[in-house]
Amino acid sequence: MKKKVVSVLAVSLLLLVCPVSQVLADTTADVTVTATPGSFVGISCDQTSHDFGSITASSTPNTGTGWATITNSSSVLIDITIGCNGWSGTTAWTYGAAGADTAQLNTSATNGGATGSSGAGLYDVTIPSGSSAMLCDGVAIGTNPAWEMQLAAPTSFTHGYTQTTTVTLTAAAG
Amino acid sequence: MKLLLAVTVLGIAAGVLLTPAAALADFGIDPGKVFIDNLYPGAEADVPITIYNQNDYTTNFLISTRNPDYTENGYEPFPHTDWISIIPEQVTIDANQTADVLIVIIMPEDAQYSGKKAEGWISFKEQGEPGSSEMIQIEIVSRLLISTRVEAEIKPTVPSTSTIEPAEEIEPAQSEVITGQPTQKTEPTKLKDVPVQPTLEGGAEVGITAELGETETVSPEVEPGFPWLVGGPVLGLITVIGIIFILRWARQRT
Repeated sequence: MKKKVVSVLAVSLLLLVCPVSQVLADTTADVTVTATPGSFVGISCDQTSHDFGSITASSTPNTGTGWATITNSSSVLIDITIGCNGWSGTTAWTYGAAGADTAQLNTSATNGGATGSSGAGLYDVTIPSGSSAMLCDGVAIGTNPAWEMQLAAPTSFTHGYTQTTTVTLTAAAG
Repeated sequence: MKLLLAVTVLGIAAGVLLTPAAALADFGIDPGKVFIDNLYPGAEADVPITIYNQNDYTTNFLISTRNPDYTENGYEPFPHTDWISIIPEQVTIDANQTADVLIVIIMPEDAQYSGKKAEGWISFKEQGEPGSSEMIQIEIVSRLLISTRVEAEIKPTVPSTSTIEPAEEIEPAQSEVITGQPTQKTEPTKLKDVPVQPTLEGGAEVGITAELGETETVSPEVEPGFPWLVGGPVLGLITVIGIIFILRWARQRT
């Protein structure tokens, strides 16, 4: 009889202890950080700048198809977006669809994928100012997209100051 | 003819030599995508990222947080970039060398961001030379996919008879007044995930997920100082005492 009482007490102690451990485990659950090993993302471009020279109103000069190549050294699928920081100059144009002292850049590329450019030489993607647009969607490992730019010049000018902008190519794991 | 050939060859050689090296910003980062799960108030997640300077010259890199251009399905742009620290925010790396930076995400104790999935980007750029005429810039990002733990706790500081109303407004689609009992614990449901977590007067918090004005209440739970006394253990203890009495009774009978 004494043995029975002892074993019953032992079981009751276990019942008491087990739920306590569970509660403690819940309150100390760890944050988990998971990164795919070797998910390297790296690109470079073989062009640093382009000078469109003197332009005429409503013209659309371009760099030529396949002007620049993006070397993709990534070990994972990547997306490449493109954006710029608007015009700057002594008196800056407005960045946007062609208008009076208003101009923008368009671009296109190979390897546009599902949501990027439809193809080389099409200039079907507007390079936005202050944000980004998809240029190459889901670029496979070892694939090096070629791309180009086009200027949609102002329809009229009030001044002839030089205009510049910085175009940023952004690579992210897909 | 020979003279013409020689001049041509010299011209080609001069042209090659005079052409400036055009390659720029040859670098990369690893990892490019990181999942941070179960982040909760007061918790910290550390993410080391390695920068590979593949240029043949020493380069200074700038690292910063930024809003994503797009997000993974089911994720929103991470609104709390102030929770993210980058150590260091600038690093100089010798040619063909690497360096590590540490991304630290700390969720404040009082944060109201329960049960969310959000994406933030860490941007890595080369710092251009002063006066540089480079028009094309390369940026590489590491994507942080963050999900926060579902928090739904009742703090035992509210009188049990009081009626509590949310201190902050719910979204217009759920503009009806939501009333909660202080001894109730409501937990989020997986409808179409429109989670809100209003702070209730009296210091109580209720996690509610609602769609088109719906709320779901689950069985009340109490979380006072001795939560282990409630539920299974008490039943177990009662059972054990009962067994002891039965055994005693059986012994007396024999």
